[in-house]
Amino acid sequence: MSFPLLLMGLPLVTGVLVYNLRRWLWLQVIVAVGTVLVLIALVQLETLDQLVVVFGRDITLHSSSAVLGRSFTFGEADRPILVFVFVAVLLYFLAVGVVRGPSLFLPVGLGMLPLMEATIFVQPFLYAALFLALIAAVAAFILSNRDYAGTDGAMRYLAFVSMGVPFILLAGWQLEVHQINPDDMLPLKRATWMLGVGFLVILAVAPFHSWVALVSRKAPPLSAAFVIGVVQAVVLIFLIDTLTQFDWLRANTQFFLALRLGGVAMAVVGAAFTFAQRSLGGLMGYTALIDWGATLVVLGLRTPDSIAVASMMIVVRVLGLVVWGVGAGVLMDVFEDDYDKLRSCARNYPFATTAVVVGGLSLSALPLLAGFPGRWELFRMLSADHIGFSIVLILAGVSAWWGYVRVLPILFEWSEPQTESSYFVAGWERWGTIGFVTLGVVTLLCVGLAPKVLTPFVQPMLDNLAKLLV
Amino acid sequence: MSDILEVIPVLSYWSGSPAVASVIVTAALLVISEDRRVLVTALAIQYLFVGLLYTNILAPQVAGIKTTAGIVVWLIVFFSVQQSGWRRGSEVSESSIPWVLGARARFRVFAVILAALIGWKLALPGTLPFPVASEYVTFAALQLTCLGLLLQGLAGHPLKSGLGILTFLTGFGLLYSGVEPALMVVGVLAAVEVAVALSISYLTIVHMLSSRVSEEVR
Repeated sequence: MSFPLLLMGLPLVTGVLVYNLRRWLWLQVIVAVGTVLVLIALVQLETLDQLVVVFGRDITLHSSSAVLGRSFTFGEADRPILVFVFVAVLLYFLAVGVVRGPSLFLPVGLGMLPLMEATIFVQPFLYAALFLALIAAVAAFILSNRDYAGTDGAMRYLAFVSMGVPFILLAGWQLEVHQINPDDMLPLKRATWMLGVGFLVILAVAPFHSWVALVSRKAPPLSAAFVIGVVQAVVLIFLIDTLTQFDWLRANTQFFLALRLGGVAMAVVGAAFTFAQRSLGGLMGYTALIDWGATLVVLGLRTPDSIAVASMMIVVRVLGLVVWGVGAGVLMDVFEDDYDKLRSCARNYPFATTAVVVGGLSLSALPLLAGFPGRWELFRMLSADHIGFSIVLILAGVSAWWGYVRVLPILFEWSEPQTESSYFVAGWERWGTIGFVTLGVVTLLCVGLAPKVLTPFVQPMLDNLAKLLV
Repeated sequence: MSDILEVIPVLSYWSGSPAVASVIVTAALLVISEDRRVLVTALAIQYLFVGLLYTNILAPQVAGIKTTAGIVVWLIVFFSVQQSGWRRGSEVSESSIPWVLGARARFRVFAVILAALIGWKLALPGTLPFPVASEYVTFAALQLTCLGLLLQGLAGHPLKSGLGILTFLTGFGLLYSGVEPALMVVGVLAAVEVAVALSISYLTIVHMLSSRVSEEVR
């Protein structure tokens, strides 16, 4: 039996089952969460390519299998990456259980899992770009629905990914040309710029960033958080895989310079728009853009430490976004995204409001919250040789904080004379939401105070590339 | 058997310059026209002739897969337009005389000409780093790619914007098939087109429902 196909087939089958259970959300959540837990357990299996006895039957789980001339291969280095992807997806599935997410989120999320896995398994791995295009197409089903009818974000996302994918595929072909004639360096140069352009487009580097703001404004909050946090993390993992595989690309300083400049461009655009936002979604979108920019800058520094910091940022962003998504999901269901409609919402929804503020501030790297240690480490690394970049990133961070400072008085506004004891009105929020938000906020605070808690989970994720860059 | 043999020269004729011309005209129509009947018909003709163009660079069986995928894509688009209505609710005729082009259409004609010129320039030998399996296939592919990009840039409605993505992917598929004719890649590219068509269909319906609700509110 093929292990990669088993890992991809299982969520697909349960996805169909979950789709048919739409009337029972709790059952959907149980099946979806159960599936992801089984996947996490399966990934821990050490007995690949060996004969094992299961219920009295001899079974060999093959780590690789060929499909129409291309292979899907599970490598040892994929284990921590897959665990990260599965845990991230698990958090979002649990979040759907506590906040009314899009009805298709769970089946579509399960349907996206095999595609995300395929981007990690497929060999030659540049074909992963094709699966990214499929992910973008499938994501449309969770980025728009009857309640969130704005289709621009989903369309723009699909359009940009469709534009970026051809560059990566053609780069793969140029590499094959180079392998035939290794003395000819022209195909290698072409492959480098094609990969650069392809990744910059798919990673939403300015000026290809507009879908991020549109998705965060117009899509259901949890779906927007999922795409920006998890799906984009898979894209970055794909980029890191590419760097791991090609030593000529790792040695190309211009490619890393492009990553740094791209990251700074994202931060500049984010900084220019964050502080003036009039919607929670827009505020999150531009804050996330700054955070992604910081991640690209740190990756562009090309040191083993930078890989560890990038992994930390990716993991922490998923945490911050899921907490934000739960809070924003509750608030936007009741009120709307616009600040004017959100006045005094903390009175009836204190936990959801706290989730939005803490999740958003963690994303904007406020000290004491989870997003800060990674950003601080980045400033430390930049202080020696790239002081200009650190100034831009500091200004971008301040812009994001200012955006949240502006929204705080609106969310906590006292619309009528109230005493402190009667300001909050309990009973409007579900226990599940309260529990999820409390856990999430405490986790963000704990990671902010003691970031080393995450080290055992984060360190192995991109360790391969870190070792190569030593 | 003799009937099949008679068809082959006819097919090889139609898969040449007539296919290139048809593909360019239909792509231009997709950009210029707002009438959904024209759009759906143009898409059908485009996929038919793109299928014929594939026979120049791929084995007939593999070209058959692409043609089948094209038919599936067209059916998805057709049914989504059928569901959302052949005329848009907010559609306003720009000109009272049907054969006179409005300002928007005139602008689009001009943009199509510019995009076609860029496509033509890119197709000149030695401009692009692609192995040219067939010059006119490359020419048609680049025209589709450029016009698809233009359509994505100009359109606001999910249907037209989606048709832009599909046209772009079709053009790229033609180019890339000359480079990488592996069955898995051809299959996944076809799957991408079908998935894109499904998402366009879904977004078109969502858009239609929301416009209907907002019209009722008004």
